[in-house]
Amino acid sequence: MATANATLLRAIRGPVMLITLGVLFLWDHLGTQPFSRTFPILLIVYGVLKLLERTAGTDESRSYGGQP
Amino acid sequence: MRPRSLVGPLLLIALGILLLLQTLSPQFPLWEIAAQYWPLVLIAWGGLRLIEILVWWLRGLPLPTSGLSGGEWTLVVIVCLLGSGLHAAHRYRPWDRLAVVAGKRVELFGRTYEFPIAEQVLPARRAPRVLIENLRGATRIKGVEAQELRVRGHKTVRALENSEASETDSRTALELSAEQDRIVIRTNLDRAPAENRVSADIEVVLPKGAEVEVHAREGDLEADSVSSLILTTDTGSVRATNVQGAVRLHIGRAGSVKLMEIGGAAEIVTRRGRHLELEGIRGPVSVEGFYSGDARFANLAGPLRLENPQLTLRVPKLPGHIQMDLGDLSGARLEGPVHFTSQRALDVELDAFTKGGEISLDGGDIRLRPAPDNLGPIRARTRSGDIELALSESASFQLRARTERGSVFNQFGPALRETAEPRGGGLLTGGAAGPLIELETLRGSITVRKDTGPLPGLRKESARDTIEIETGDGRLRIQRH
Repeated sequence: MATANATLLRAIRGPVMLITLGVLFLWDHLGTQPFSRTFPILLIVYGVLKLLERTAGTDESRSYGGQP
Repeated sequence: MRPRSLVGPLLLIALGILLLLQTLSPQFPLWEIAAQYWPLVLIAWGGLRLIEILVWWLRGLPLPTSGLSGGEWTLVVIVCLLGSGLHAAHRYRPWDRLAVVAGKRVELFGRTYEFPIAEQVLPARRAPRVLIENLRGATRIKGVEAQELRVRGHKTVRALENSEASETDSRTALELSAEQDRIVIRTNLDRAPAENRVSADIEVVLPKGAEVEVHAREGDLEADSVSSLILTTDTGSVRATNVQGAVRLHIGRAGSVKLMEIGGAAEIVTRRGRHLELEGIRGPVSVEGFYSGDARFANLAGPLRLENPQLTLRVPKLPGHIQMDLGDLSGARLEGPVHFTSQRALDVELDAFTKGGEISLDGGDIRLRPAPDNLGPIRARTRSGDIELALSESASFQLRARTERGSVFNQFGPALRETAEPRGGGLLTGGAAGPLIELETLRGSITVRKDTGPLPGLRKESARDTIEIETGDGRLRIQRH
């Protein structure tokens, strides 16, 4: 199941980034916040997705490292 | 088999519907909507893709390695660039700026059309009051022996074509009317469209002794044989002759101002002007403003007052003349006491002036030759420059001349005493009872000599090869060979 989660997370990474990008541009055009100020959100979202991917995949990796 | 995405076709369908709306009803503001809301395309694209992937996942279908392929990301970048460009174009409206240029098209591509202003006549009593409103163009006023007022002239209109020009011409018809106790002449140029530049040159012939007031914005004024003249304008030149009463001019930027034979006061207020000439004025003369060219005053029966931030000149009466430009001031036959201060370096030469005076310069030479009789107290001071004083042998005076750095020369006679001062200065004192003459320079020489005739004049060429001497009834020129 963990592997399936990681695959899913990797698959939705593109669409989620795209939605975020769209929302930021929309904010910019509606005058809420300029894109020049909100663009780091893209990095954060990307980072969070990547992090979730890694944590979803750690179940197997943990068995390798192993605890005493 | 891996399922294929439905997003591409869906977006194509949406785009087709929008364009169809635009073609079916042209007032549908597709571009405004697109410029503002194009990011919704990205959101919809991502959202649909997200739902698709979740559906595939729930059904247990194989998932793609990445949600969006490289090609799709390229497309996203293109959409972003196009959308941002559209948005910027709508926000900053570059076509408005193009429209500004287009507004000048008449100026750039138009022609100048000329129209005559047909003569209009209005019966008038002697010495009428007249108001003239001509915003742009030359106005000429002449008083004659007549029982009526006549106006005529011609107009120039800048326009693209003849019909446009004559439309503007008829819109700005000249109006001549009697209002209460005065006659009003209006050229109505303010009714012209802004892009059609109109100017009217008018000639007004009216009964002698008229009290005339002129309102203008730009253009020259010429007036002759009126009783009084008032002018307000932003820019222009003025020439007025034979005015029985007062002349009052308020000009923002004056070209040349020339007043001759004025019976009353003359008041000239400008921000800056080029040339000024006042001659034969019986009332007080007051001039405010900076003149970059030359100024000439002659034969003024009343006091003269010239003021601007750089200099002040006051002369109670001027039977002779004063000529000045940026570099020097020279005058002859002045009735003092003369008062002149300048914040600017300037050479000053005063010949045959009575009752003394006070001259204070920031720099420049001073040459004085007071009239032999009616000598008054004199104070002349320059920060840096030579002072020369010519005194009649018979004059009674007390002298105190001092230079802080320079020499004193006594060419007057034993009545004066030279004393060397410490640090390279000099002191010249002497005389008995009489008006006090004080000369002071911080750096320069002081010469006091016997009066041997009029001053040679300040003209620059006189120093080189000619000397011009103004005598009572002409000029004597001595040329060097």
